[in-house]
Amino acid sequence: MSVERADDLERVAEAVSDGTPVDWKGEMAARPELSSALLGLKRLEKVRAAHEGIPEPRGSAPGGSADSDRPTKTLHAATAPVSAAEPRAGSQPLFQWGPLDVLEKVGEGSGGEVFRAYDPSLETEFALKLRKTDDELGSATVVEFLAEGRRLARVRHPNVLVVHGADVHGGRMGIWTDLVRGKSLEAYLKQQGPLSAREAALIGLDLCRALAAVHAAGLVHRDVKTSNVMREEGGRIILMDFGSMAELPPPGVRRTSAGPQGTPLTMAPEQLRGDTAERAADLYALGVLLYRMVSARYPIEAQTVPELREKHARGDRVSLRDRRADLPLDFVQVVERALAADPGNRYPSVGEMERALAATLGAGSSAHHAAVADGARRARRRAVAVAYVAATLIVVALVIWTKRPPPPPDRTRQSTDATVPSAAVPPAALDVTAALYRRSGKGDRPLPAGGRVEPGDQLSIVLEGNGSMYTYVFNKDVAGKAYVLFPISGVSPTNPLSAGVRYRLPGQMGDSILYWTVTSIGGRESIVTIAARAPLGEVEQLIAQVPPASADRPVQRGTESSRPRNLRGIGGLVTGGTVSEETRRRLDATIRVLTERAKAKGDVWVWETVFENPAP
Amino acid sequence: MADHEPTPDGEGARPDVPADSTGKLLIRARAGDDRAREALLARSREPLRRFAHGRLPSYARDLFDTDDLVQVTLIKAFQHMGTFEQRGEGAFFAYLRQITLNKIRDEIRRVSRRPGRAEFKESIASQARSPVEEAIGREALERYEAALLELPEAQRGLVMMRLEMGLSYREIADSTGSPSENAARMAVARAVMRLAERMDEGKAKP
Repeated sequence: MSVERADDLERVAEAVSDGTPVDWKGEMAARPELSSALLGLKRLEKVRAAHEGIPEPRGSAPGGSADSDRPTKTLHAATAPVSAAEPRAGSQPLFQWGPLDVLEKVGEGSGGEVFRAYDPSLETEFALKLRKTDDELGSATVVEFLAEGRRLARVRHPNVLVVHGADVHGGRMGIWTDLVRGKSLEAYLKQQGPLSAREAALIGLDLCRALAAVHAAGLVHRDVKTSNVMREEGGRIILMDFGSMAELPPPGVRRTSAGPQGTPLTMAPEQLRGDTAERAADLYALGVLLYRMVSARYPIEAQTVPELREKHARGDRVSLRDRRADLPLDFVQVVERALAADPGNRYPSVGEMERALAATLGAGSSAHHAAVADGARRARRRAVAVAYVAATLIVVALVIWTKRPPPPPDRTRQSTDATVPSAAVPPAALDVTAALYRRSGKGDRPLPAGGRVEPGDQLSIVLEGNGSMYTYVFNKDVAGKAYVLFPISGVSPTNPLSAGVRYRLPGQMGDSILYWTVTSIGGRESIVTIAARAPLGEVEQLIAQVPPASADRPVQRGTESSRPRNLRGIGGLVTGGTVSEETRRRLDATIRVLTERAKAKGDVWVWETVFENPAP
Repeated sequence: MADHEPTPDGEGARPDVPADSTGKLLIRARAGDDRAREALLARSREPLRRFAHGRLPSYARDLFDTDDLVQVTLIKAFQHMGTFEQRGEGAFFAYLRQITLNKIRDEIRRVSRRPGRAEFKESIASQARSPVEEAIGREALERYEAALLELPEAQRGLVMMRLEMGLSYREIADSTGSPSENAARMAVARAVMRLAERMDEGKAKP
């Protein structure tokens, strides 16, 4: 081996180790005799990159949305069921399509299949939607298709799926777009349960902006619905599936539509009648989407299209207020106006609707804050995951993978009658019902006060208040340790909890349901739950001083690190919970003061439960 | 209940002082030093998470998340730390890596044994590929694993720590007791080069 050879290879090996890009073609061309070692290095670069990605469920793509998104209603069938990824051998692409290596089928949507594809020259993955057609392509079809691609590529907006191009290769028409990793709003809804008005409004704002960009490009989407909107990991909202998008007719020209396109349950009445879908139809569909996000229902439900048309004709629509009486009136009004049967009675533009939605959020409230609130309700999970954390006593979580979520301990808000007092007239006293549960093989079981807890027990609190409330949960033991059990950074829900909603605390982090886990022996534990109409300054200060039972806390380390890291501790291995004597005294004093205030004024609610946790 | 309050001279208090090598921490941890255990734990978690991410088939990520897998791996690793034989720096990461791979295999087996899930099993078959396998293909992955085993143990550890677990050169230097970051970087590059050469040898052999 020559010195030079070693130098060249070592330089590339360094680049691979460092993670800096390598010009493989150039290197190979310069030293063809090293090609086999270089090929090895190139593979190692891929090994490195494969370990680097962020863990995330499979990507989804335009049209075919990923898993758990199957239509459940007869009329919802415009989105075809997603087929399982097709088996394939080795690492070879399924096939080539123009410049793209087609790697994996990720879904099937209206009129086409969606693949994950890779462009080797750009070294980028795309979603590729191929039109399903075995017929010979008429030139008119191709021209129309390519024109559509060009139109879509005109729309550039952060909330609209980026379309990179459209082409025909090997007799198949395809359109390629960004590969979005995340889940559809429909999947999100199924997982989270109905959202709060605030969270829905925030999503609505993003979609108004997305639609404004679509409309500005002279297009109408025509199929805005929960399964066509992706919520990317990180929360970005992306409007997709332009399968049925149509160009707006030039002013004055009336275009006849070849029949309704889109999804009947989310269609505007005029669209259902077969009229050309105009911008107002997108507005209506957005109204349906918002309605669905807060209620999990459609404003007009029917089993067949004729029945649906008839109900539209009769104006047989369930008002959103009747579905959920606890929603703020202004939000309900925005949705109802978007759902007006007469297009002329809807907002004149999505811009107007955006303004009205923004107004419902009010001033001085943090939009981001609200966006994550309300998440844990009716959590239906595929995996129950819990993490042991930081504590000698009680910590968030452990790790069990079952496919079945714990059954919700009780009925949900949706099934109850509308008996919640109007938000405009808050009742004098804050009334909260709460219960502690212990997880068992048969689901969550009530845990009576005074009972025994043991290491390994997984606890949760289910509570519901008659008003919006700031909620705090602490854990104390006789040894002087204390933890904040709620709120926990990175865990939803967050304060304030909405009125009339049954929450399960601690909540969830990402897709994981969290529990507080008892990890050691404390003699006697107490769990103190405090709820208040307004944030309690004293308690918020204490939260800053008492360690959280957090599933995601940064660990202090001696070594400097190039990237921030969040580590989860393991119960019993990571220490914590020690608070200064003064902090502990303040915590006790604060709880006493608040207990008095609860009796006297009723604007605060305090609940302390004590458990025995004796040494064996 | 043992109580280990962080003290000013503990790990984490003096970032300018090089941290103990993994080997030293191991010895201390096995002697019952809880702080050393914690330091090891903190040091292992993120690298292992990254490794597990590369090796967890996509369908499995629907069933349990990477963090949880790492959690269990660490619990297991620390329970059986007594049985772990310390052979050179970097061996600890190789040990954790092996436990992770076993755990992934166990879980996949467990899931596919579950009755009444025919439709689910079918989809497993098509998705049983991990990101690493996706990236380079099964054959190349097998060659990679084989070539890795042929490397001297110290070099193997370096490759795992850097390419699979994404440790910084500083961390690698700390873990292996290397005199400097740059020395660690050179050692890693040499190990990577050796491995790259061997990856092809496997194919050339009859």
